[in-house]
Amino acid sequence: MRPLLRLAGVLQLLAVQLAAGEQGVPTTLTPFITTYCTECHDHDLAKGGLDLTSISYGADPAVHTRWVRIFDRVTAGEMPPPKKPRPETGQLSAFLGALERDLTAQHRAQRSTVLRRLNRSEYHHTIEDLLGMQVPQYEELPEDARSHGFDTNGEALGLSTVHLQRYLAAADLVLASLQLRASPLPSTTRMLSYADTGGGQRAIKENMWLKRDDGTVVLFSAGAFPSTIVDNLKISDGGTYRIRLRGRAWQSDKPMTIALWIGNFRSADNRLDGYFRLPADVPGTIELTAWLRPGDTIRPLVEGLSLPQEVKTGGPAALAAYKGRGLAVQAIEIEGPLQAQQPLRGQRLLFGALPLKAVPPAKGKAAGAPEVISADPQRDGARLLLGFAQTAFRHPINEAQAAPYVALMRDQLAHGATFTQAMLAAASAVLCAPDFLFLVERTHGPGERLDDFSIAARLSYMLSRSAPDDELLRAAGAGELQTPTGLRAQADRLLARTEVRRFIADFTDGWLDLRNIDATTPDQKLYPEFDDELRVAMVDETRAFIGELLARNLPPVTLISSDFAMLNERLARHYGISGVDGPEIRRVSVPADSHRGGLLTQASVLKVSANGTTTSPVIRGVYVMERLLGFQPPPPPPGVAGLEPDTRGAATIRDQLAKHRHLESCNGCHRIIDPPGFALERFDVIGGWRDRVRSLGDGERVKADRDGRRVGYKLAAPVDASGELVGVGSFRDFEDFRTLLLSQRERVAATLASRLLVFGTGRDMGFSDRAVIAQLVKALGATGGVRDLLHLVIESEPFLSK
Amino acid sequence: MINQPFNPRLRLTRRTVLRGVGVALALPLLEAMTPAGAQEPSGTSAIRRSVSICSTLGFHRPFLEPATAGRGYEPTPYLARMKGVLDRLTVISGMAHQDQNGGNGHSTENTFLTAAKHPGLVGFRNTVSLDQVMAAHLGATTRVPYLSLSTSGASLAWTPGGVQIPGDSSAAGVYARLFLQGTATEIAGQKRGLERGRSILDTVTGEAKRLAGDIGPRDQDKLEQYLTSVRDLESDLLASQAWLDRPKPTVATPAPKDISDRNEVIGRMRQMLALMVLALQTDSTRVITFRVEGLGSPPSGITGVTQGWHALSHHGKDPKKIDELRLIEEALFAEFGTFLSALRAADENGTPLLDRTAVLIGSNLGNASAHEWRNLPLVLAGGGFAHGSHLSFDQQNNQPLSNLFVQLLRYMGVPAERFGTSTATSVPGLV
Repeated sequence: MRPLLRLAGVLQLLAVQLAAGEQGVPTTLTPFITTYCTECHDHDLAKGGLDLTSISYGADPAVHTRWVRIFDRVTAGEMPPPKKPRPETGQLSAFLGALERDLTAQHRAQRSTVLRRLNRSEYHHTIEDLLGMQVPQYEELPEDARSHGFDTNGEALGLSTVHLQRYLAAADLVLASLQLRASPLPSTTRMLSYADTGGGQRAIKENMWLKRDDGTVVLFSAGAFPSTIVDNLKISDGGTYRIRLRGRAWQSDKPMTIALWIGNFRSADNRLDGYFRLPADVPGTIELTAWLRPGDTIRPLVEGLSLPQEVKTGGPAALAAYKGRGLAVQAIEIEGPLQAQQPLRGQRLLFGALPLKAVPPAKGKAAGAPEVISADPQRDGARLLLGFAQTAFRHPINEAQAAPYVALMRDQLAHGATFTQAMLAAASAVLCAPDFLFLVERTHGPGERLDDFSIAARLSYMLSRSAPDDELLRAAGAGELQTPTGLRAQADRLLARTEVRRFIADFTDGWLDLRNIDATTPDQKLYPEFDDELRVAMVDETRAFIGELLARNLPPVTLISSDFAMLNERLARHYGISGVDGPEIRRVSVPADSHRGGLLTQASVLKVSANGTTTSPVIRGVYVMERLLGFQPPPPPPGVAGLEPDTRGAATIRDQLAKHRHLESCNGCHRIIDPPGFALERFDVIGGWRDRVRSLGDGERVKADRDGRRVGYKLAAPVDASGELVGVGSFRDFEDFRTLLLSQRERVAATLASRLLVFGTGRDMGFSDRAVIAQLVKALGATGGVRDLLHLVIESEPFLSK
Repeated sequence: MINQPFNPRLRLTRRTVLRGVGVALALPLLEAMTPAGAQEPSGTSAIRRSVSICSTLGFHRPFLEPATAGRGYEPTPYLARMKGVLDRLTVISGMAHQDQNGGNGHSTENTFLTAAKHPGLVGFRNTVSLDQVMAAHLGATTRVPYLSLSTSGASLAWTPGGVQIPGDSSAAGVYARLFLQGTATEIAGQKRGLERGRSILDTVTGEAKRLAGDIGPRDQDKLEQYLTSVRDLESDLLASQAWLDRPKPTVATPAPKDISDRNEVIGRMRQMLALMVLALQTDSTRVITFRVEGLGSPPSGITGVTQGWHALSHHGKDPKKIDELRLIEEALFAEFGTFLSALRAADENGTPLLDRTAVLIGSNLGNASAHEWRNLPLVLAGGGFAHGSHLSFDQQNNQPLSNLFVQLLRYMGVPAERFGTSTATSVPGLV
């Protein structure tokens, strides 16, 4: 019966809250409203769906939001509308002042980071750091809901039985791959040749690849068949390995770019390690260090490398006479596992220094996992589980708090489990406990300051995307995080760690929507130049750009315009910039005649804000207004039916929008959100600069070719990138627009600060945060950089409180 | 035999939870606690099933809805794709959920089966979806209580706490779960795993309850989500344990191979729909939802489509775009037609499976070009309803879709009085 009672209680509580939320408009506001507003916003007219004679007032989120909108529109001078009498200055400021106080109080009273579950990426990193290894559990967990692009919002991160079931399975899987070892594994070095791989043997036999006398194998194709998978790598122990591939570009005067993939190439769980380069004249070496799981191997791929059909079927003579390019591989060397410390951290945490005994193989089977030997399982188990749970939970716990896990371990022992099995079951429970799965902040109400360990967790999950390390926990325990200097010192330390790359990637991807980079595929006929190398490089560029701003502490306005770009050869080619060789991203000065510089000229941003064939100024406009200028277009007013645009007879997108904007109710917002999109019309769906729109229908034929083949698209209407940024000024072209945006320094800084706060606190910013953010921007000043801003955010009240 | 529930407790816990979230059940509290088995008539004649399918980018209604109401309508282009089953389906127009004005034009894809108001606006909290109420009612009657399938990963199913249930987009995975027989050792291993899972859940429940005293009021809510999940998962594990002893049904159809190309949406759909037929035919589940996710790109393999699906859905009345959109949507309806025909051809003791399966096919957008959420395109097929007509309601003042949901709940044996924004327990004209 208990659930019923509980529910009855909840329902009662709801009823009380509802009654408390129903309030009339306070008398401090009513004189102004009756004088200036209710002529249009009364029960009869209710313009824009707003009836101020019956509107409620109070902390209810929907009601609060309506009043925030009223506050904003009156503040902006949009209401009362220009043709109506203006309110007296005194009356206006009294009204706004009273409303602001109320709205601030309402928001403060309920704003709170809601118990936040680790998202998929945080779970992954946390496990990785906790156990000191990589495990294939990541893909098993469901994708997380996002709020404004970020998957760190406590409210949005739900938990269902399906989630819990996957956590249970993931914990088992993770612990099963702990690789308990009785003795350290020796590191070995092996030399492999393509003459011995499955694909190689076949390709050489069938005269598709060439085996030379010195053992070098020349790969004339690097696609699906013959397979370039190095299937004789045979990794049996997971760990870090160093792989060196020695070779050169064959029969080519240019170096060759090679994509290296890692995986077992049986499941979908294969990952691109990166792009590498081999020279044409002399052999070179590609070296990579990566975590390989049992069964993993590598696979090089070279775009556009294939053997003509007549050579394929022409026998040895045809192959010998073939003059096309190939990839000559002398040898592949594999060294590892390289772990400096053995056994893995997970084994040390869970089993301490207890000895292990090898388990002899059962009949016809491989050797089993070794068993941990304990002379006193009860006591060893209790001691070790306390330490394990404490580390997993990210804060100190006492014996009573560890007791349930110890009890589980003892129960398992009593039911005949071995010590190892019993400990692993208890560890599974730890990894499914709320203290592990959630960022538990032990406070009692909104706005309350966080305790030391909760601050440590926020800081660490923001900057390392994982649990606090030992040093941070120490600082938390010593109370150092409660002082600005202590906090700054730890933040600086975390920013210097390699894990900061996780922060840059997750924050950038969420903020700028780069997770959707693959959401659309550019039409191959329209954009034949688009390839995987470009797709990967464009995301790397934007992450590297944000990383550069952070590392060099450049001002936030650099986001709008920069005299440098983070490029590799592929991107530079895409942007028409010469002199950049090789696949690695580096800082390049933007030539004076280039249009590049700043986020809005980056291919990733331009791709995610377009679809695969066309650009929409509306979508790009909203993107710029929201993500860079912090303007969120309100939803259409309630009760207004969706208006169907009729674009028949409109030749260009701009014409279509003009037709759209004739409707007054649409124009209110669209005159604000469309113009930045007009400026970005200069860029096509993959971020290429354009003077005319590409088309597959009408248009002028193009004389360009690609890989010897004539391109299939035509050139249609010329681009018109002019417009007017409301309240700022008009622009003739993209560069004009970018210059105009430079005047929006404070808005850009405020937006970035707000995004960092959302990411770091796990909640949306609301009315009462506005003043804090404005203060951060003021403190940053004209010269402060992104790193300064990040510190200000971390030291701010919202970041340090519930 | 297999429609006898194993676990009356499951039914109790889930239903009591449902009671609190806006699904009004006609039974008094105590009756809800009678063992589930006591109410289930025996034999297959009472078996009823429910399938709900939503394609998230709307359907061009002029190509779906007949010009005339009632019987004897002239088949439209999309209906022509389902020719073999027109006598087993009803086209419904003039129906929608109420107050769906939301955070953005596509927010209603979260409320198609929940009817919660103003999705995505500040303060929005989703509510339980139709299928979950049905699944909770049926409990462990079948091997899996429900399937929430998806071409993308996002499903149509929401828990009573308003959490979206992750969708299954791997046809191979679902096939393995339903039909691949484990070895005796594997099954024994799974059993031990389940036992262990239950001990783990016991442990963490205690922990979560202790934690409740340490956290603020808004956190309690999330913790409650956790506790509910633990409780329900415990029941599920218990039910799974009983099912482990029963061999899985053998099917002649080989295991599907997952399609990795996300743009291959028709192929993915075809796989899932075929799997749904198998799942229903073998009575592996009786409640299925399937979300067909729209794409930014053109779906692969449809000749003549050059633009992204989403862009085409915003056709702005441009006839060229509508032509391309039609190609995509015709391909979809052809798959639906094949699915319905397969259900009809499948025989269960002399009755076509389709006649015992109520299939709702529709979209959360009435006119995607305007993000219009009223006048949803809907087709109800099968389930033994009197079909063959176009049920047309007021375009200005829509019939609540929730009314249909209550009727479907009752069809499934749930003694529901209300769901979402319902105003009646059935839809006029649908018998």
